[in-house]
Amino acid sequence: MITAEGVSFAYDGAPVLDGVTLEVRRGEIVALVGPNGSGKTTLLRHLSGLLKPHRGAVYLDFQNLHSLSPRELARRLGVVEQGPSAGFDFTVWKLVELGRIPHLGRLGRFRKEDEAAVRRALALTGISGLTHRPLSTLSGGERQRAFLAVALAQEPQALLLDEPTSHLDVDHQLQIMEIIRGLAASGLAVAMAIHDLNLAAAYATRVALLHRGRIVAWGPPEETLTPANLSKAFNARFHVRRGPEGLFILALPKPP
Amino acid sequence: MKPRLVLLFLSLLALVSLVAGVMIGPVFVPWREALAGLFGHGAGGEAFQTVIVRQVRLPRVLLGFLVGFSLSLSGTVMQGLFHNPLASPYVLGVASGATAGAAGVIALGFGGPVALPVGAFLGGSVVVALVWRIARTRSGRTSPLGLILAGVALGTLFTALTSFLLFVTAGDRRLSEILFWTMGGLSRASWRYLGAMLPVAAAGAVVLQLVSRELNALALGDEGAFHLGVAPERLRRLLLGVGTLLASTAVACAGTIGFVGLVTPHVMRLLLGPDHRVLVPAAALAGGIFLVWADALARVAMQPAELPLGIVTAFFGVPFFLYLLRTRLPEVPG
Repeated sequence: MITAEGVSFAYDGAPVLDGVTLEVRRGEIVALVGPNGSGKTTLLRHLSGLLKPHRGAVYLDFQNLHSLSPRELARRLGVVEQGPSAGFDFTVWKLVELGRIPHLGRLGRFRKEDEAAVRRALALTGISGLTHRPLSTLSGGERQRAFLAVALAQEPQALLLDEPTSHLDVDHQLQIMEIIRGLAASGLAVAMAIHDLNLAAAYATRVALLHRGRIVAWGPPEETLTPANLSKAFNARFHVRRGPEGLFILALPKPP
Repeated sequence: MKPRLVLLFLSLLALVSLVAGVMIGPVFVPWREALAGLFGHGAGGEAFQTVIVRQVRLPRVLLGFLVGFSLSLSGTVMQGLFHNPLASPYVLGVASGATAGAAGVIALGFGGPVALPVGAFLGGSVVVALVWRIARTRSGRTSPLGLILAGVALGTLFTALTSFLLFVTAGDRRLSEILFWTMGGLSRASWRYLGAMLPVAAAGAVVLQLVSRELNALALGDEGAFHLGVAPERLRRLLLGVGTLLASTAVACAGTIGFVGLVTPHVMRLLLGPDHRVLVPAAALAGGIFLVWADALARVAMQPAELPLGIVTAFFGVPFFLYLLRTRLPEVPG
């Protein structure tokens, strides 16, 4: 479980996060939604321990993130950045192997169990058939899965994703989201920043709606993604329909 | 290719190259003598040949191997460090700083296998420290682009400093000494230089092999590396320190020999892929092998004169590299 308590942060004096409190329990998917610049990515960077809050704290299973060594953190927390890339053209297998680094010492050999973890990660993301392909030959959807597999090879308890569906077509968006839902169902705590409100509504158990570094609504999608809340955060009009298959959200420009 | 087989092959090739390096030269040494010399037995045969092997050929061939080994290691690290194919001891200004440092030592009237490496390391470290300072952004991170730009700028400055030292010492015995040394070569090799190079090369290789996995993690960027449990800034500092020490000691022992540090790691990466656990030892061995053959050629190509080593490395290495680049250029990961 990840908990943020009153997290505040400023870049060069300009506040980016202002007293953000939320929790991500095991087995759930928390969606961070909000307009560009509302603090989604900065919040994720706090949840991952990359940034240290100026006020407040982040806890991973009740331990302050910053009391853990980077290696300890990496064994418990998997992160996929937005539009991830590698500086060298690794094969998929070599890339996913990197996920075992936090479990291997400097002298540690790559053991059977490490290999098994890599195979599991590849299977979970449905790319077992791509092991020998260089990254440069993958499609956008395959690449996103490969980097998700790196995080899964770490065998974490929590997963943080920044825009896991950006630049993907509808098919691949749904495939990735189904994989993520399966991971949460298997007990991972998942938090993701996501622009697509309909995907957030369909897959998240809870939603944090951010606006100017504050959470303006927090709870299940039906309670948070309301026209009133959404038009507080975004400069648009919203129609929200509740159907048998869940919420359907339509954004329209405000009348001039 | 199986990494283990490749490393075994390179090790054998290194051994063959060392023996061949001892054999080749103005005076031909039979392979038995060469092999005996390599393993420290003072083999029989004519005393003349024994002296050549012991005092001239052997230290030179071993030093050449270790210089190529170290420059190539240094280049591998710096490319991996900034996951930037442009990085090398030369591009980052380390070699220019080391050259200026060593030239300064000579201009002050010192020299030899202790003062030169110290001067070179001081020069190289000053450049690295400056480049590092300049390339740090306000948030405390290091900008790879800033590092390379600052490295090129400071490299130019320190090359000018070496030229200035040449200018000041004009008409002096020291001029030819500095000049010889800026061209690069192994003709002054001795057991004493080897004593400076060997521990540095060995320690550098061990350290880099130990952190090779973390070097792989760094390919995912600083943040990607952090999420894999690697503290990127600390690792970078260690790697820069080791890379600087390797390159400046090599420069101190053999002058400025370009190309090996930039290209050998590339060639090995094109052939073996980017995994540093294999790449680090492979590039080191290949750099050593390459320099042994280049130096052998330098000794015999224009007899009785000796070609400057830098000319040979460029003439043979560049076309080969361009050929590999044209045929095996990897797709740009986007």
